[in-house]
Amino acid sequence: MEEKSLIQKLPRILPGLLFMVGSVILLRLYVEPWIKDITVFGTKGWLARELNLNYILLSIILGMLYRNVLFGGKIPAWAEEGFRTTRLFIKGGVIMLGCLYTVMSLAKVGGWAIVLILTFVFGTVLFVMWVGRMLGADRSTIGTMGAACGVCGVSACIATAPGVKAKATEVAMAIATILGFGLMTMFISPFIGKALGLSDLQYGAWVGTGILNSGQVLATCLAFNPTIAKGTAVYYGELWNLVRVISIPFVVFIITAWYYSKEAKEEQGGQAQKQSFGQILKEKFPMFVLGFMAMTILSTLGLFGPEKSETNHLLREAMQWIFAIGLIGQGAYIDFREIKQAGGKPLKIGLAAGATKYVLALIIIKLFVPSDYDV
Amino acid sequence: MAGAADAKGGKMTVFKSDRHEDYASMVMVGIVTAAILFYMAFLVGEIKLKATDDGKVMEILVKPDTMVKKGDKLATLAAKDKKMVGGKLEEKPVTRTVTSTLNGKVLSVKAKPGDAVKKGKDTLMVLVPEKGQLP
Repeated sequence: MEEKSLIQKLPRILPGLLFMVGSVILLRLYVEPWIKDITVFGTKGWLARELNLNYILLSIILGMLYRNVLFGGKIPAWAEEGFRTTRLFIKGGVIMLGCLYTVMSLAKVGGWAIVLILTFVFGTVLFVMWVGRMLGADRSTIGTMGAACGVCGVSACIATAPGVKAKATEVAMAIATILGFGLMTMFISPFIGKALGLSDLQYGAWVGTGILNSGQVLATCLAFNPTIAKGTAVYYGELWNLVRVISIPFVVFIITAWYYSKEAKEEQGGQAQKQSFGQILKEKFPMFVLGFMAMTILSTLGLFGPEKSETNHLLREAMQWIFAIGLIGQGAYIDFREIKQAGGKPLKIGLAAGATKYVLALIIIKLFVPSDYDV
Repeated sequence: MAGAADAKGGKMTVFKSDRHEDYASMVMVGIVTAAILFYMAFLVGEIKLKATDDGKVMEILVKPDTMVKKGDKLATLAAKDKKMVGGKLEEKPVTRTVTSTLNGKVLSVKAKPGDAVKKGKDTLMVLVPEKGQLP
């Protein structure tokens, strides 16, 4: 049967697509502000900040509810073609994510701190690859968990997932693991920090390196010292976290390149004959990852206006809407039965990597980072 | 990513291939980004200049209809420089100068000397940017 063109498919795409767009409008205009206003444990916005219940998770959760509750376990025929545009929006969101990063932001952090943080980021990625192989996990699981544990959780995981062809279930499990791990460490870290007599610098550096999610880094630092000022735990934690976040484009690029180089090798029956990196790029490498890198370069060159400008704010807003549409679809591909079948491998990898990074960072920081240093 | 299982077995995209989908996403982002940049550079009417620090407004250095250039001084704020030194919080009163981040005209001034302002929340003045710059 001859394949239909995109224009011919449009009538079948529109119902599902409009359903996703409508859901996002509802979520972003009504549900998200409502969640930010809820007071839990006496703190307004606790759910949004501590549990990271922002548009990313809300979109995925809503999509999961659609499939598993509203649709009875399968996306209905009328919406199927529209939901197939999910990856288009996820990839679009990833490309736009690039315009929020500038390499210049690294200048805010001292050289030794950059070396330390990047060693942990890439060291964790390598560790996840090793543990993943030991447990016999899929390369796509290893890729998403590597990004999630190495960098700062949710964004890195979502940005890497389409490049390594990860299943929606794998993404969901990676996110659940890092948020669960973050939640646990969020409560114990202030006690450990006080017991070991860590200074604000040491504590911020440790938490900014060891905890896997940006929101949780902020909350954990504030639990240690609620003062927001230069030289406090939250100041250093955010600074450390910033370097991790800036490394996202490079981590995504490296993990995707690793994924495709292995795939090329497998296709050749595991023979020693290797495809050149140029060949991999030309034939297989996901072009949207290059688009993501290109946006980071353009942003560094100042083409999208100064950092924190109105233009930057609008670009971020557009990115969030694009991502949210894709993430509703992403959630709708998560089948509760598949999560059961996936077993505990992603959980084991995530916990092993997270715990190792958390403990190792504490030892190194306690031994080598001075208690007071003007960064 | 979504349903890669489906992608491996069947087709998980409305496009001819993953490559086509990649290019489509790049085109989509290109259009959205270009539209935003065009809107901000040529169509946006006014920009609210927010307080750059928590503190009090000391002086407003411009009046409505004043033409300003990037870097021109617009207002001064009395703020506090907080720093943690040796486990103790040191607070030093400082004067912060708010400068214009773009060329344009002051449309209206919203704050007056003595007003308490919050960083990024309270509007000091409204500016009309010159066309062709990204505010």
